[in-house]
Amino acid sequence: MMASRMLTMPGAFRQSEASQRVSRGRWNPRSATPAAWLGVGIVIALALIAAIGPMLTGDPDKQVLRDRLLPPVFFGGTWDHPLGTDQLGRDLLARAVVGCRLTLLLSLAVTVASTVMGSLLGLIGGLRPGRIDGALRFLVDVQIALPVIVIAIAASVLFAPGFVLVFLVLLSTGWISYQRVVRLQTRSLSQAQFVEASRSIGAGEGWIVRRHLLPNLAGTIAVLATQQMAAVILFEAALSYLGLGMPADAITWGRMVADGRESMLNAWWVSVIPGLCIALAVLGFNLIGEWFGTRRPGVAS
Amino acid sequence: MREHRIRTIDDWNLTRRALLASLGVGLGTVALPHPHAGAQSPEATAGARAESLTIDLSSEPDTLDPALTYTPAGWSVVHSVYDSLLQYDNDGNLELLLAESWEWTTPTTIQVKLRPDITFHNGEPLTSNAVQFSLAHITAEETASQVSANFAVIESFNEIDDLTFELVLSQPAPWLPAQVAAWLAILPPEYATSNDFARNPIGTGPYKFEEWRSGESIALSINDDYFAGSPKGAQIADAVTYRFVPDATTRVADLLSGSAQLVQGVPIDQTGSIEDGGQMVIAQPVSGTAFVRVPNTVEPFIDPQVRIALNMAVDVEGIVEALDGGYGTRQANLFVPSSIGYDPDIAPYAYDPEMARELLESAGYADGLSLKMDVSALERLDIAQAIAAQLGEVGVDVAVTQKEPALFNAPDQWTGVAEDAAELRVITWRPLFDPYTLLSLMFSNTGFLSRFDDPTIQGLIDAFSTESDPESRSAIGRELGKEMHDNPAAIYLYDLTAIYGLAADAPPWSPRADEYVIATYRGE
Amino acid sequence: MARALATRLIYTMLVVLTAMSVVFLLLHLSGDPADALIPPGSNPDDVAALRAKFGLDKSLPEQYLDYMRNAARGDFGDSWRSGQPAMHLVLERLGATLLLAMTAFLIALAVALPLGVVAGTGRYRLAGWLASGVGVLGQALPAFWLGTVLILFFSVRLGWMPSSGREGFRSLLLPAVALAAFPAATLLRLVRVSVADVMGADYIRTANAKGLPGRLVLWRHIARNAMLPAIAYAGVVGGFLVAGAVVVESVFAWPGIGQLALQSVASRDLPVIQAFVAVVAVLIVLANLLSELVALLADPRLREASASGAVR
Repeated sequence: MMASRMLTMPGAFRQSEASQRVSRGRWNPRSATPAAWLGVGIVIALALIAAIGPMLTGDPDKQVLRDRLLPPVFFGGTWDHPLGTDQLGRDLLARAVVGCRLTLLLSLAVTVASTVMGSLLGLIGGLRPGRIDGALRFLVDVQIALPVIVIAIAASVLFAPGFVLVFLVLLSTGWISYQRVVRLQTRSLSQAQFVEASRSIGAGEGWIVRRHLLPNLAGTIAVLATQQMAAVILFEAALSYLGLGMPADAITWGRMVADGRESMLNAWWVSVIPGLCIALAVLGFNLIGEWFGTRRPGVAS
Repeated sequence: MREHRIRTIDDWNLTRRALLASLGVGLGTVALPHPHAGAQSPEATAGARAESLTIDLSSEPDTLDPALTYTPAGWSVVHSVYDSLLQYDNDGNLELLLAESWEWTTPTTIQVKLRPDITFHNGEPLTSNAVQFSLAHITAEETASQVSANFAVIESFNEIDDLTFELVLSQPAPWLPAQVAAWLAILPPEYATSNDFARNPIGTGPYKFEEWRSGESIALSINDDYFAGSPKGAQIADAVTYRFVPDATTRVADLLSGSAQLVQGVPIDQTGSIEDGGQMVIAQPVSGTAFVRVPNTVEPFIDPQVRIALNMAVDVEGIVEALDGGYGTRQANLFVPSSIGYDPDIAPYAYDPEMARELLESAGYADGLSLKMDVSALERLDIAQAIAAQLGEVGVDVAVTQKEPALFNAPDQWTGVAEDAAELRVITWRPLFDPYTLLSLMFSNTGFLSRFDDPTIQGLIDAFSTESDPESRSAIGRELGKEMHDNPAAIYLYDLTAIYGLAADAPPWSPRADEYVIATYRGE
Repeated sequence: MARALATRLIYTMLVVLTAMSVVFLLLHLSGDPADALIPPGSNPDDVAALRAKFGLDKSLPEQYLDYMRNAARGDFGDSWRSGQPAMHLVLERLGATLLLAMTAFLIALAVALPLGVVAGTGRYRLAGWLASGVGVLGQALPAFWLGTVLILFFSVRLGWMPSSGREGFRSLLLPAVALAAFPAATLLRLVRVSVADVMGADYIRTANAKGLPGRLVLWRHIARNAMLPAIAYAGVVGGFLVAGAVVVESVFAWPGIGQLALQSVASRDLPVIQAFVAVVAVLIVLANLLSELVALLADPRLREASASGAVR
């Protein structure tokens, strides 16, 4: 997630060149490749599972201790538990389905909040050079200098473990990439000819932001957002491993991987199945991200 | 997480133990026979000694100052380098270590004679002065030892001669030997006054300290001058390296790949892999117990029927079988077989969800209960979840929260003052050679951690803490155990088992009920 | 130049100081740190003595001023757990983490640059698939899980590498790979996109049309466009590597500051945590600074932009 903040540092300049040529190069749905459609398919499927799946499966918390660590169906298991069971004899299919909801919800919440907060502060920083921009940059630099892990741990004591805690921790670092990228792009875009032109004919700032800046920033933001969706899932897993994640009764894929890791030697499926779920989601978001990333048909053709 | 996190805070297991059980009749007699005398001698097993032995511990000691060591990992190194005056065998019998005799001349006076001709690794002789110095160190304010209060009962130290001294107590303290065994390792006064012995310790123990690589390992080498016939047993390696490996799966991998020959804290599900890999699994009953503390000072727990119902609702045998590989036996109360006052005749509660429901109903909770249960991040979450699920079956809805150890152990969490403090707390406690500490802290009406108050039990705890006749004290313990079974202060679970992995080609090694991992062998 | 540098240094110090203050406040707001130091057996007198010993009996502003004053002199206090100087503990183990993090970053570069460039040119379908695969896997496999799988396969099954600890170069490889996976995937994506972008630009097409001499130009452009994200990424990857190191060091029993931080945090050993934060903050800020400098040297357009104030 941290990584993505640099996504367009150097690209910012290309972007401004491109923008001058194609004043509002928008992302074009028709540019979608089969891979992009695959990504869309995966994400829609996961969203459906998250939305209605839990109503269709059994109780994910139902323990049957004598049925613990049963393998999945093609590895010696039965159709009673198609994906096998975990250390407490809970059905992994039910847990994977229910875990999908919380996992994606957290991912979405963090991403949306980071996008809004980061983009807004990025726009402000880009449009208000000087003191305000300086203050924002200072904030960003301080935040970068603070290891996430310290924030996570301090926060784990300030707040009860749970959704809000993990959300805040991930948001505290998540917004930075947007701020940096949007600020840079805003800065170069607002010097672009078409923006200058609008300004010279008396267009107001709000109009310029809506009409020129946001449409041009949308692609970059979308790329960052799809990356973050994937990164949040992974980060939640790491926090769970360190015991700083969701509460004990919450089911997320990350927590399932962390909990199942100790059985890796004798029951690989307990951690591999949620791991595959994570991989699938990451694949979906990445494919969509690449699709967003390869917009601007006008530049290349 | 759990396993991989540092096992620090939960391991402050204050020890107090009534050795007096083994003290024969009446005050005084003492001079315990040297255990295993003749049964084994260092020479007998010397042939099996390895050139080197690498041991994986689950955490790094903070310090090697014995007065500031509160974890099994720390004790493992400390008790390899140092010796105390006393120790416990695996059945809970007191054994003489540096003391040649330990005699209660009155209920408040102990006369101790040291073994002659013992020297520290640097050549300093062991004298009464060294004991006095060590005692002064642990009680000194600037040491800030968390157990100093346990030694406050010692009013004065009277040196009789170079090897004999007398401890005068301000009140009878039959539990003192347990404190001495765990904490009062003997320091070399001359060296310790002018050196950082917390980082570079020098003791009288079976191994000499060589090197401490921060975050990585502590290296020891054999002490060739170690006294013959020590109850710690014979050394099994010329060089011992303790590595600090927080991740349990990695420890098992270390054993399987040959990076370590002995590993601590093997998860039960991985014992099969160790055996498949041709290595050995060693399960050692520990003097310790697991329980879910239940208060009796607030509703809905004031009626003992509710607490009995909770005990009946949990299928402890089933949990042990499924999640603990069958290691551990359901307990009737807090006393385990190696505890003074243990009574094998008290039957544990039987799993009976029907009866539990009826009891709840007759107590007026036919609609069930809604409770919170806390478990430290260092304890096993799966067991807490299994307990919660079974309580759910009888209509007791339990929300399990895993808490950071520092938060879990905050005093207001124990006393229930904190807003988010749970009624039910999953606890493991060790060692329990002498249950006095646990009882007085957590179940007496003056205990800092207590949410329990019962006049009968209080009276018995008071008697248990002062009775100097070992027979009578043991009887009081049994009575207390019966009372605490009938009027439960907890959901009593099972006695603890430590599981180790040992390489097939490693020399024979003796696990200990106090969980110190020391590279010694005590014979069959 | 000297003045700019001085300003920059002061700014950097301010950032570090603020970060330290934030952590100080967070840790002191998050409950009484003494709680973690006191075993439930202590009596209230001991507790009070302990508080006094660590200065926790003073008011928060007093503690803060004391702390900052001492920190300014380089004195970060003694660890509450081990009694050793906190900064010494951190510095003693910093080398192991730096070694691990740098090796991981080099591995990430070694994977991401060539693969990213080849995939970015869009000429080789196989490379594209490979790049996508690495990208997805690197971002989908939790480091702790990957680390365990690596140990079980390479140490236990094959016996090629030590399973944990620090015994020379062979011990370094597995944890470095586990730590490198995520940054490698991210960097790969950055390089690929950057190269793909430049492939479509006019000057590239022109260069291509010019034949062989143009090809050289082409590769120069591509190389630069591949390097720029790498340089920029190096500036920000520090924070990620520290967080990742906490996890990876824990799995591999690697004796770095990540493990130290985790232990200190679990037991609320505030002096060590503060020293850790100070050191990490300085390192991250320095890495950031360095990468900016390199970026300026590498890209003339950035230099102009910098001069005209567009970048900073």
